[in-house]
Amino acid sequence: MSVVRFAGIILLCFALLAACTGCWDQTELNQSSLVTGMALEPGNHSKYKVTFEVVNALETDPTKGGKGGTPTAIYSKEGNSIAEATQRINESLERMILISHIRVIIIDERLAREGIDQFMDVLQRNRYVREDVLVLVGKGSPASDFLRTVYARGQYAGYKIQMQVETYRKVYGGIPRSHLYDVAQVLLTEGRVLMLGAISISGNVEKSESIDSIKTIYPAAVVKMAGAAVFRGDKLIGYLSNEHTRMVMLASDYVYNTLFALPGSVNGSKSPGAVAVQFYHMHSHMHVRMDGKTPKIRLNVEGDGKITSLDQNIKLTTIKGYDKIEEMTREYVNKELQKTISYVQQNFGVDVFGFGQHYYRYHFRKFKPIAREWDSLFSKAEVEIDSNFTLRRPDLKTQKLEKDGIGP
Amino acid sequence: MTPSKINFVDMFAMQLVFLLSTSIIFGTPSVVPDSWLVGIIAFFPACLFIVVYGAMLSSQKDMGLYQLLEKAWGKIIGKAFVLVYATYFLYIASRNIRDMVELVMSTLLRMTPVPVITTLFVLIVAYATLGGIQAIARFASLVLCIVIMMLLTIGILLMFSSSLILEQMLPFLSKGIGPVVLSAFQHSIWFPYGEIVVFLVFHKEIGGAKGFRRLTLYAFLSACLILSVSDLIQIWTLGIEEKKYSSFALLDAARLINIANIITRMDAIIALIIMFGTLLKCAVFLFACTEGLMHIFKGKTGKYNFPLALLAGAFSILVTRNSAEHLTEGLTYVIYTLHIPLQLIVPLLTLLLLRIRYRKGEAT
Repeated sequence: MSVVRFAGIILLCFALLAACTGCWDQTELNQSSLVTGMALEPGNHSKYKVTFEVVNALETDPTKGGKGGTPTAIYSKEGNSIAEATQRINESLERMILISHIRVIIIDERLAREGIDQFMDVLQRNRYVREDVLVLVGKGSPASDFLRTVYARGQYAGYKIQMQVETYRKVYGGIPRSHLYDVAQVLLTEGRVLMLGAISISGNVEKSESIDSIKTIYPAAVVKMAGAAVFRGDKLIGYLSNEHTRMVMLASDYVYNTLFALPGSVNGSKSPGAVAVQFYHMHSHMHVRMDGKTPKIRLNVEGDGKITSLDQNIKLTTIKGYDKIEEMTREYVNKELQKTISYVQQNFGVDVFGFGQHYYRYHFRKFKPIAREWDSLFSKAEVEIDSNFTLRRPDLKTQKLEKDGIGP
Repeated sequence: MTPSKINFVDMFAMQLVFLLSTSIIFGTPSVVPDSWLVGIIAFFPACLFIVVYGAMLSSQKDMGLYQLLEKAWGKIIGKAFVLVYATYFLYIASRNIRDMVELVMSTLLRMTPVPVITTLFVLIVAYATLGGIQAIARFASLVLCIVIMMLLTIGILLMFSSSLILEQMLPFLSKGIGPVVLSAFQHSIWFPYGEIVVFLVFHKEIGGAKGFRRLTLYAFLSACLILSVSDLIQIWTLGIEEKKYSSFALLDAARLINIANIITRMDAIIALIIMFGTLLKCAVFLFACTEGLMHIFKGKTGKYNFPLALLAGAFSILVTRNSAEHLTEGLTYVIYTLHIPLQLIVPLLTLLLLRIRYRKGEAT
């Protein structure tokens, strides 16, 4: 190999080093900080106040442990747009912020009442904000307070809230699926209004900010799931309780796993939760048709489950016992669903179930002329619920343990 | 000179990747809700190209696009046309580079100066063309594997993250069949199908008229299938309504991948697809362009490749100011001023002239 050739190859390697490393877009880890939560509120001086929860990476190290500092720090900035406030966050923070690991976006109630459409674009447009980030409404407290609650596990508030919401939705279904793309999808389609998850705080936030507050066994403040925030268009109009939310989600086929406590009688007296049944695979289908000016809706709910608790004496060795509990479940779910539907019809008058969306997708030509007045039609809709639950097994006991008694 | 025929599979792979590369991302413009149908409808008129181009190749023995043009139109006008075609190919190459740059700039690298990316990219393209069409074709099978694997991966991952909701493709034909057919004729048959005209240059490698017809039909069918599947994946994940607002719909769909919070956001896959695809497509165009210039100006093989590649790179930056201009130019002006004349009218006239001037049997 000649010297010239050798030198040429070396030179080429250096050229590649310089050209292929992408030096312009580098971000040093020790010059940037991850953001895990974001809270949006109306500002005092400007239009918005944006609060970021920035991770203090040293304190969250699980192996070495921290030096006793807080795992996160909260920074707020006011600005006339969310983008401006975000870009100007460095007026108080020294590191560059990386927003791609953001977990929750909490919208203040006051802002939600004015309409969320005015600021959603920045979140949807940004390539770094994940599409499955949770968008929640903070009920009762300023949005930034939710990020100021410290938890005993040494984790940041944003992560805790996200996990809590997802787990709660998975095991009980009392909160709507409110990912960022769900917002866009609902706002763009017809015949369904937006529902976002709502969270509230119980306890003292002022105390909860300090790291000392987690050294007690009972946390000073806890973020709680508070059902759903119902929107008309893009404006918040009210809240649904966790129970109602679960029924709405069940009707629109978003609940797969839940538990019903069925009323029955224990020892002759009435008991609200005499039998508990757990369902693992729930599905619902809807059929919508118009009868003149009233929508006729048929809702089919199906479920597959087991009996979790039984305070009433029903023999589960007999087919009759199963039939009885299934019948009780059917009655209970039908009643609760009917209650939720008429509650929504009377109090909100907007279609949170997506009946209209179903009609829009499957009967587009019939839906087209009534698209504008759908919500008012919905509040007069007649819903017929037809549920079909199958209980498969009794877990480990065939009936409630009870002394049989001997002799007469 | 004996025609150096390439492996049929390689050639097919090259045509397929050529058809897929940028259109898989930009694909069917979402002017109508049922955009997946547009691709399927566009396939049938697109077969007209196969008929016309096949007839052109079969009218004369062993002649490519450039030779045919010269033969039909005479020395001077023919050469002018050759030059026009060469420029046209270079222009499309530069537009494709711009497509790639747009995607890379808005997803991966934001601060890196555009000229740096473009220059590095076109140098690779030029290098790829140095080996001739055989080298590009051999490279194509590899790219095809990557593209199809990636697309399948995206589909499967989306399925497992339960993001594919079939219901979202409804309502079906909400605006009627008219706009769908119109869109097929306005956009989809010219891009990507019409761009197959560039393969007329490689008549020898492609195996003459017979080979061309067979190959292109298969490639069109496969491309139509894959593009429709890709369109359907986009619609199933994003929904008809949201897809309309997406600048890169497939990328937006890939962002929704989330499997147990471990495998999330596979949008780098999309960048890989478009980079490899564009590399191959640009190489084909650039090679066709250099062939054209060599036909007119003569010269040593490999003399034009690097200057032309740099020219295409520079042109990709200069051609439009922003992405809106880029898209408008691509979807309206280019179609009416370049695609329709050069993909349909000139070939038709050439075919006519060839038929009139050289009757069958008295070929010179």
